[in-house]
Amino acid sequence: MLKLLKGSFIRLFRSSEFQIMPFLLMIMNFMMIFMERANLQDTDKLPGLPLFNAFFHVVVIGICTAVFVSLFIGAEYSNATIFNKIIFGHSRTAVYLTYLITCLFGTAVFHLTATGVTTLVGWIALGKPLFTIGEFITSYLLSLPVLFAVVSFYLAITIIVQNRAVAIGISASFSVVLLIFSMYFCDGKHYDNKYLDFLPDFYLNKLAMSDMLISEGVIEKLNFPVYPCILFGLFTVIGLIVFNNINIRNTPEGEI
Amino acid sequence: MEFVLKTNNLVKRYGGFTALSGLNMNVPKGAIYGFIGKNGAGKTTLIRLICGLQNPTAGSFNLYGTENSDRNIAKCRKRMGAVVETPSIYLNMTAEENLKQQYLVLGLPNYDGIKELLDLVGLSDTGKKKAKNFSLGMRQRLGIAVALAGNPDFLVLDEPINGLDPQGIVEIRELILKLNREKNITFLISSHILDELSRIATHYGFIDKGFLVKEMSAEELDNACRKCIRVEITKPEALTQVLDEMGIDYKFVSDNVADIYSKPNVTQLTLSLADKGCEIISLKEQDESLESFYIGLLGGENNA
Repeated sequence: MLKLLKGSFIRLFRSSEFQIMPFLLMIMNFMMIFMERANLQDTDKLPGLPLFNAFFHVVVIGICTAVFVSLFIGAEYSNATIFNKIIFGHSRTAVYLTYLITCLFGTAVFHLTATGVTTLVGWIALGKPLFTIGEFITSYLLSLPVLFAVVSFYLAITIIVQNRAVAIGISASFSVVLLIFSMYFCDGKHYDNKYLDFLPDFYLNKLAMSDMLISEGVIEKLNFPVYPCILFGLFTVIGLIVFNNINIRNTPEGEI
Repeated sequence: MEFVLKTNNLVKRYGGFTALSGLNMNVPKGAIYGFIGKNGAGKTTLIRLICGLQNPTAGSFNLYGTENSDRNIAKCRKRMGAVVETPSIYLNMTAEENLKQQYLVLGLPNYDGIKELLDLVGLSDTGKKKAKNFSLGMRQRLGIAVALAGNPDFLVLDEPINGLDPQGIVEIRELILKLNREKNITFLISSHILDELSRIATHYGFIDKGFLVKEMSAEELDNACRKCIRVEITKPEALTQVLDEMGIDYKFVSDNVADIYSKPNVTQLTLSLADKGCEIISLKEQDESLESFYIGLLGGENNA
């Protein structure tokens, strides 16, 4: 499985979807930062970079992850390269876990890249960060289980659908619906309702604005995302069961 | 005879549709096995099953002597390569990068042999050209190179010449013959382009509606398809005597009808038979191609 992983990671770093994703995420953060910079009365006295500016992209990271996973794994079906792994004797569980680990790593890396670069740019544009390294790391680590739940969900969809174009359509639609649904609950009344963490985007919204929510007393502190962890386990098990029993076929690009 | 693949009453159903209904086939070691059938006959389904992409509904198959239900079947599959439906290649990678990926999938310790593989399939001069910019024939050859990584001794090719231009068809044909002769690789090739298959296959399996209708060697097929003169006479014993005297190969297909497998001097034959009081009722040249044999086998042109 290590060799499979090595091959998969090489492909990840070469893939355009992985290379483009951090830039897409950063656009949103930069817009926020430069709007704030443009509104400054006195550019000699910089207000500093709040935590939410560095993490604001997590609001839309669900959509980006959906597209990334369906493009990256869907290519295995459209290119029929998934056949090579199965024919040459790799177990379906090993193949699935390789895909999962690669996507988890890819998502964690482009999320970290977007956050890190945004912090550096924000530092220059708005001044010294208003958060500690500890707060930065904590926020990043808290976002990971949620992202992992999102990745496992869209991976399961791509594996079941076995068609890149259809998988992108379904996953992107799902992610938009989840985002809209989460936004609906994004008010002071619901922030402390931990059951809503079952909506990964809800937790990500909360995380994006955690410094504001905590300072304004809306929430006491950001809870650990227990429910996304459960979702991650659940989607992984479902994906594995389906993948181990499904008839694998390929759908060349352009065919639905 | 040693067999690489044997299937035993293999059945595959998709919901209410039966793609394979008790298929029995035997692929001998070192053979180029032409698997012939019309679209939807079950060729690709069988290939998917033996490649482990799908599981049989009933029945079994035996690869290098290992049953498909055996845990070691995955190990046996390491000895085979396959191009199923389309070449399994990353379109955004070069030929060399694709082979490197495959070497990693196979867990090979180094990249030795990639150059030889590219030479073998005639892709060594593609440089940094990405596979998406390759012609269909080049992609097909790269797919075969990927399948050849790891030195398999059994190669499964599903419709390898579909969509290729005449030059591409010749290239693939020569590659298959070269690999079979030089590396003694056993081939299972599914196709419905019979003329092309008849140039390379050493064994044939004819499939229709999920059944293997007939399995035969190229020699048997040649005999069945031999050019001959079909003659209908009144005295079979006279014909036997005359043809034996002339040293001509023949076979009776019914009481008064015989196939003569060479070109006799018709005048001499007619006179000799007349001397023995035997009349020739009809005389016509028979020329059965693989195509007409196939049509005859599957029962009419509707099946072609």
